[in-house]
Amino acid sequence: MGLPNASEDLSSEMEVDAFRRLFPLRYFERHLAESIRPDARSLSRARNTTISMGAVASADGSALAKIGSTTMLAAIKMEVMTPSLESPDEGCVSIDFHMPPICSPLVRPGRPAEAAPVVAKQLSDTISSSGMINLKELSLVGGKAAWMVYLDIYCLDADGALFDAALLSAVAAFSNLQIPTVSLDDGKIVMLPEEQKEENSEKEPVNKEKRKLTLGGIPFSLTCILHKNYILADPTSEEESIMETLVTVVLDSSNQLVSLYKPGGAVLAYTSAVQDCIALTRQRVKELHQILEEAISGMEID
Amino acid sequence: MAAKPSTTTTAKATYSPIDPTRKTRPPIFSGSDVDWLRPDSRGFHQCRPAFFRTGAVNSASGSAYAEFGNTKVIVSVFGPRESKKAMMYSNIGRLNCNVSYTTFATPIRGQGSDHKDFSSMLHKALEGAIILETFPKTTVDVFALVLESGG
Repeated sequence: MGLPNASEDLSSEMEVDAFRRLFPLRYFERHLAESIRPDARSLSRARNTTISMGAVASADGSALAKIGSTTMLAAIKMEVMTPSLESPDEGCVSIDFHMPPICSPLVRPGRPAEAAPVVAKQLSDTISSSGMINLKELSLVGGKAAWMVYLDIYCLDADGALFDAALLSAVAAFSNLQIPTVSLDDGKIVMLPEEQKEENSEKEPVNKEKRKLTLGGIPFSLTCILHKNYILADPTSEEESIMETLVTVVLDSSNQLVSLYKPGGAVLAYTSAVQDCIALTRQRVKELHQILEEAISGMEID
Repeated sequence: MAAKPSTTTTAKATYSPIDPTRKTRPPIFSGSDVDWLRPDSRGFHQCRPAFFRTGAVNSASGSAYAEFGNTKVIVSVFGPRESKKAMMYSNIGRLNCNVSYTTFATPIRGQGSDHKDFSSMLHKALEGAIILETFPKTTVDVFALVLESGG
């Protein structure tokens, strides 16, 4: 775009912000040559991550996850369903990812964002293939009633790495989940109110013991951008819009590969690039696992 | 904005175990008492404690998070920006409001959808406060997301 010489001359006179808007790729490449990014992170460092559990009081389990500015609110509501004939002792998990118009100037009300169904599908595939949830634990009365877990994830602020933040909030919400005690009442499952537990001995709770789900291998992910020879971990939305080749690696807590996702892009991923991404993800899994453990123990103290 | 549920199985009919008819609410007007308190022990003229924080959303031009007791809302303002809808030239700006609920805003899970009535109420309320002549040809978008609805 334009003569390369002209832009070189202009760059010394132009303000930094203007240069950033007009020649974004050059702006970033100038930084990458010094192995740093505009927000002063090194190429392999992810942004500050925080998890806060129990964000939504009316939900059975919820969590708010923030990676840098990207904010995701996940809430789980449990409803009762009749299980299907092929799997009479299994419940079901339904994952919905929403990008409301508040999260980004690119989302319009009335038109779902382009990224929303992609992330939703990725999330449900990752969670089901990681084996984190054992569907048999969701059964209430074999063949008659089972739990349907509705997981709704809302993006409150979209600033890159949407899938990472969404997966983190989903996993945290599942760790926070308290299954309500219910009993069978005339063939219908009814929730037991807290006060009546001692008085009502005829309404036996169907699931007194199973209040928390046992989670199998917990998946954690890291998205990286490939650009020429550089690998940038945890991109912001500005970086994602300029350099479009993304690779998402999902590992579980025992460092087994759950999924590797590279949807096209101009840069080809050779074996070495893929191995570097997986190594970066391995480091990130340790950090995320520790952050999640701290959040869980913080809740338990309260 | 609720995307269609992407379940591969057909949408099953599910019901929530919470039984709304069970809770017997005490009648609010209890006889001839003059000095009674509301269910959450407030007086007639007392408002719930409010909490506001600006800068909730970094991607927006302006944003805020507000709580009135149990009602929690996040609002983002984008603009003034070009709008695909407004094709005709106008010498005053346009205001576009949209209010939507999350699926977990109500105790029983609902369809998180737009509420056109709240959107138009918000529009009427803000119209008087914004000087539309200062941004001709452009649109200011105000989006609200209700996280929890407690009245």
